[in-house]
Amino acid sequence: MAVIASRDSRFDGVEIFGLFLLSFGRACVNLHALAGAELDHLLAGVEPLSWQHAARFMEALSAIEKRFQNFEPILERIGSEMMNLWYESGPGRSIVKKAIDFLYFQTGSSGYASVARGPAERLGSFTLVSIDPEQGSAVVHSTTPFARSMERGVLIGGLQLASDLVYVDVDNSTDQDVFHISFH
Amino acid sequence: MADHPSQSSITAAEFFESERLAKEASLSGAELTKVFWRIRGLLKEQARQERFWASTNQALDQANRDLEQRSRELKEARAALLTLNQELERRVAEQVEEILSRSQEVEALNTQLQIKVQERSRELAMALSQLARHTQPALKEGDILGERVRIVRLIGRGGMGRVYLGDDLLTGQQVAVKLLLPEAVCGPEELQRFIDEAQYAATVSHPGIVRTLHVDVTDEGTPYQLMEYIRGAPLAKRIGQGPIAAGPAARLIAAVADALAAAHAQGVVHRDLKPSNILLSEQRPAVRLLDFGLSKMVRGETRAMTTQLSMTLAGQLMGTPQYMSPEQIRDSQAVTPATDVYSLGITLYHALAAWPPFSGDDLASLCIAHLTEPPPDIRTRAAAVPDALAALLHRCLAKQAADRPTAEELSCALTVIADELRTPDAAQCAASELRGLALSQDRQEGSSR
Repeated sequence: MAVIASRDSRFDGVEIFGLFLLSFGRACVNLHALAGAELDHLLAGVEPLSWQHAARFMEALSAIEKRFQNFEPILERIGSEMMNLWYESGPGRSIVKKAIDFLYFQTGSSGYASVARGPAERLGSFTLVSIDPEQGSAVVHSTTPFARSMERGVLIGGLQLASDLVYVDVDNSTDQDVFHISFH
Repeated sequence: MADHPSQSSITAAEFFESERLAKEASLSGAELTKVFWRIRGLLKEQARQERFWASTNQALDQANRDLEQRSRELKEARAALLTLNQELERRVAEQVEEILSRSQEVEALNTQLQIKVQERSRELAMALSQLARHTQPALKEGDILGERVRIVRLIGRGGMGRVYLGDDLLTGQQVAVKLLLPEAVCGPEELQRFIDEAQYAATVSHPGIVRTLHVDVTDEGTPYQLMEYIRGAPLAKRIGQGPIAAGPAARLIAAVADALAAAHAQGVVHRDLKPSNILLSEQRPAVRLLDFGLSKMVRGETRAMTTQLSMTLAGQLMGTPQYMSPEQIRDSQAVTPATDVYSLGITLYHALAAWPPFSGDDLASLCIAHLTEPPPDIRTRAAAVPDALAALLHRCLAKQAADRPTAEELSCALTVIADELRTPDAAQCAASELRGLALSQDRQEGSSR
């Protein structure tokens, strides 16, 4: 279950955008995943447009891992909550008109690439491999250092933002890095 | 069949929004597909929610267990602290007790040291006393003392001086003449003090107190004291024959306490109360107290003075520590009327049991017993002593002076007890006790010590 810890080294040299950290922190507050000193440490001095070393983000994830014996559903929900916040309080509403818009946006240069920066071999990618709107399926491949359960939540939450889908499922049980998306 | 919605067909939106459906309502085609996926979507979302809440509840349960565990640990820690505190308090109490114990040991050692010094001094005093006896000119029959008394004969001799029977040329009465050894008074100041205090004591007027008639100094500088001459015997002599029954003992000591109360009322403390200073007489009043004021002079000075005089009087005072109060042992300056009550209590105990409460092989152990040990219950030595008398007696022997009754209270209480025991009056009691002694000669001899 040490998914986060195993990825620690992947964050070496990686920086995270302040707005992302603030959004993450807010989601943790809403879901009671973090509180008190852990939250203060995560958000101390973070400006929305600044870049922060990933260490504090990793420490926050470690705290969640320690608090929740089964933390993957929590991270998944945090990912979804972050998308809600992005949509309701950020620019998401103007970007995402349909669910598919989100897939394209998130896997493009304005998505993942806009919230993390650093050495390419550390950053990895979040790539839309295929999409079939008629069949309601898509495949996203991730090589980022982020927790896959949180990324799964990002995809689920993001696809539900426009409320034009009645069914969303994201499955990466076969290969953690490959998200099979079903939507209708 | 036509491939179009029948009139009973409903849309997916109607399906989810309707409160109730008609019996003939049906879904088909794209609407059915929408409902299918929406229900699947809701089930998926429900499953995600359930996983989330299961994880959250699990964490909450774990947090509760952690809290309970911490609460238990806190209780255990508190219990351990409580135990530790109790242990610490016990240790402190032990230390305090040990300190107090050592303090008592130190006090006892100091007392032992003082007494040893006095004992060594006494040896010197004995030698000086022997020398003095040989150097003091003895009076003989017919000698005139101070142009007032004609000496009849020697009737007593002690470490402090000699007692003669004499005729008072002024009154024609027989008198007892106590002639002090020269070393009993060290210099002019001590001599004057002796005279002052003896005269002060002579002012105490009570039928139960042997009167001092005159105090003076011979031409050779030897102090002397003229006293009433009483025929009788000291209580010490009677006690030496065996215990006295509770009733008579209470009656006789009540009489002594009454005389003592009169002295205390005039500010005089005897300081040397003991059976040999209580005279039983066939003349009324039957109980008399001797040597008032003399011992006050002897022990009323500074410690250095006391030591010096104790040296001189040591031989005569050998038995006195058996009757000394704790405060008197600690500091001769600290004596009060309560000191006399303690000594009288020891005397009463001695009379009832024919044995004083404290006795030791040496002076030191005797003094330490007075200071620290409770007296043995009188009923273990004299079973017939009534409870009230035993209780009163042990109050007199309280280590703290303030816990003792006054002489007046003691006299009253003893009188009540004697009355309850249907005891005859003091004269009859004294006469009865004297008969037992079968006295045939002057009883005052030896009582002046």
